[in-house]
Amino acid sequence: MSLRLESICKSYPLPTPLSSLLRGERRAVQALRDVSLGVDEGEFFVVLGPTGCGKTTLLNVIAGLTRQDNGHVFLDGKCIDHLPPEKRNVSMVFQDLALFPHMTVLENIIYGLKMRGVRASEAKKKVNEIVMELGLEGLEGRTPSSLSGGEKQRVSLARALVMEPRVLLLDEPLSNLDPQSKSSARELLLKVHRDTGVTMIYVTHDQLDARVLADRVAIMREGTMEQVGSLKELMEHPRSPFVASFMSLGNVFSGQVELHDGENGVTLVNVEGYRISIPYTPNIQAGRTINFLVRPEDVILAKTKPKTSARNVLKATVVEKSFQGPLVRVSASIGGLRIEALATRASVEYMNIKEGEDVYMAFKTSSIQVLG
Amino acid sequence: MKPPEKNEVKHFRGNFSLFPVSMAVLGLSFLVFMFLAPLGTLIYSSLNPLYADPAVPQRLYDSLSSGDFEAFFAELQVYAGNPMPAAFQDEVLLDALRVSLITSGASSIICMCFGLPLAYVLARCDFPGRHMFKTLVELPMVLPPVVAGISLILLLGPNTPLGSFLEQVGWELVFTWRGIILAQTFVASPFFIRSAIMSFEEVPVSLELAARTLGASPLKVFRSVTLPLSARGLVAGWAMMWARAMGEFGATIMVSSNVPGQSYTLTTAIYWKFWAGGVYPSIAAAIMLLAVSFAVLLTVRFLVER
Repeated sequence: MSLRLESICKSYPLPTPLSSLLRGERRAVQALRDVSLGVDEGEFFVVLGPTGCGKTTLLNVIAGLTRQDNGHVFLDGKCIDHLPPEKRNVSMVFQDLALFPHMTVLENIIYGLKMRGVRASEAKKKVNEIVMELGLEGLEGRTPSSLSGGEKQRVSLARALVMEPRVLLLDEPLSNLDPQSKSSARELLLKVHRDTGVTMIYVTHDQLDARVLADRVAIMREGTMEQVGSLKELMEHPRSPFVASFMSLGNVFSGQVELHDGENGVTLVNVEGYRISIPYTPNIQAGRTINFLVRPEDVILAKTKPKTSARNVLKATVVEKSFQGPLVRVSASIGGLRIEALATRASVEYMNIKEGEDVYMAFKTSSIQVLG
Repeated sequence: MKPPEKNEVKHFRGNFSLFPVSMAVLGLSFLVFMFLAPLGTLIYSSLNPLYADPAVPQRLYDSLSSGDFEAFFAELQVYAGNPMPAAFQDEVLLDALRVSLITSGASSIICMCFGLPLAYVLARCDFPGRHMFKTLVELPMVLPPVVAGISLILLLGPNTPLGSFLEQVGWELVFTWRGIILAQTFVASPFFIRSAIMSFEEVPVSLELAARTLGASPLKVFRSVTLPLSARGLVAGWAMMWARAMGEFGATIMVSSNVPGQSYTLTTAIYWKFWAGGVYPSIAAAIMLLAVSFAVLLTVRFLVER
């Protein structure tokens, strides 16, 4: 295991009014709450979470730019808590890329090697290699302000990679790019990862980044790790409603258990007044709130009441149709409930589904995933 | 159909905006009346003694008519021709210029050595009371310099604990040239510190952090990233500070002993000359101060713009 975090906690003080200070109260925001994590050698690890969930703080703690309140950081089995950032050999690509505006592209890339005291000839050789790798030939003499967004991003990556870091941290490096540059930047990142085999920790709020890039994904929420696993694990077995909705897996419902019949293996849940049958889940009692996931691809659409073995059939009004490649996402609402279904474009056209009209939405009990 | 002339007028009105014109008129008239007129008159009067002292012909006539030829020739000698060449032979004025240059140079070096770290700390470190300290260092900018003089005398004057200790050691500050440096530093350093704080704050923190992750120690980060990126503001602020120290009068006059060649600055020279002989004798010193300050500010502006 290349990098290991052991119950890291970090809080930042908030501006506290003097009256509270005098009473000995201090306001603080808990950015990281007991985060433990292991990242394997050569892994592309993506940390996914909404803005303000502590992702950047996590990277800063690993890089040594922020000192954690509690817990330890281990790199190759050695505790690096006491090491300043310049001695950790952990490189970082910043969200604003942080290119030095008073230096040329070449000077930016060679900066770290100079600081490390690498001989000029050797440094030059390394820089040339990385410039070739990232396709930056011809830009060496330019200043950062004259570069396009994609070029800047590549220079920033080159500057971090030329250090041959033990771990490369990336803090939403693609957030300022247009969609097209984004996809080519993702390809480049994958290529770089393949070629160098460097351990990468990539922080983002864009789940598409995670889907394309990640070997493993961690979902972060309010300073804690909600779930860590491979993309497949997260998609197939989301552990919480937050993970399911953040990964856009589909309809997340929350309701109260009405009937829990162990003999017949039936569990009925009341969601906004509608009774939905979910797979029998042991160890729950009636009256408890439960969350579950219904994937839109598992919802059957029909204009007339379908003859189906599906236990759950709801009549809802279509509120929105949106085209997503070859598929159409149909949103329908009934009472306070909103259900999304995915159907092929042809079938939506064939059924003549229009906004404002009623449709039947059916889903099998067995297709429902209980999230706890 | 409308006549074409009318359309043309409308077209002209559409493109003509009163805004830039009025801005230019207001701005330029301020420049002319507030700055060019007084300073221009100062320079003009150095070339024309009659403008500075209209009573000259009358006094010449009086001394001539009373038969006091000695007074007549003395008066004539003073006012004949341009006062500037004479000023550059005036030992007292040249000494004052030397003292002014040395003391203001010393206070600007002190300000650089101590004000720069202070500005960096105030710009980069977050600690309780930071905003109060930032306001505190700006205070001398708005405080009457006389108040600075009083404070320094109260702290370091001969009858104070600190002052008498310094006197025993033989290192009196107040009423010596050292006191002048102190007064100038007190009054002028906010100009540098304020500008330095703003320059440091303009350097994105992420650049410094990036440099750290690239293997640079905090000192190297400061030298290779922070300093080059804030250099413009630092140099500009430093020049302002120096020019302000050069022109400092209120606090200086209170803590200097006014011994020519020792603690007699160009500004106090202007004051004493004015006190002793009116406007005319003080013109030469005023012009000297104006020329030196203008030259420094202009040079720095060229350097910074480049």
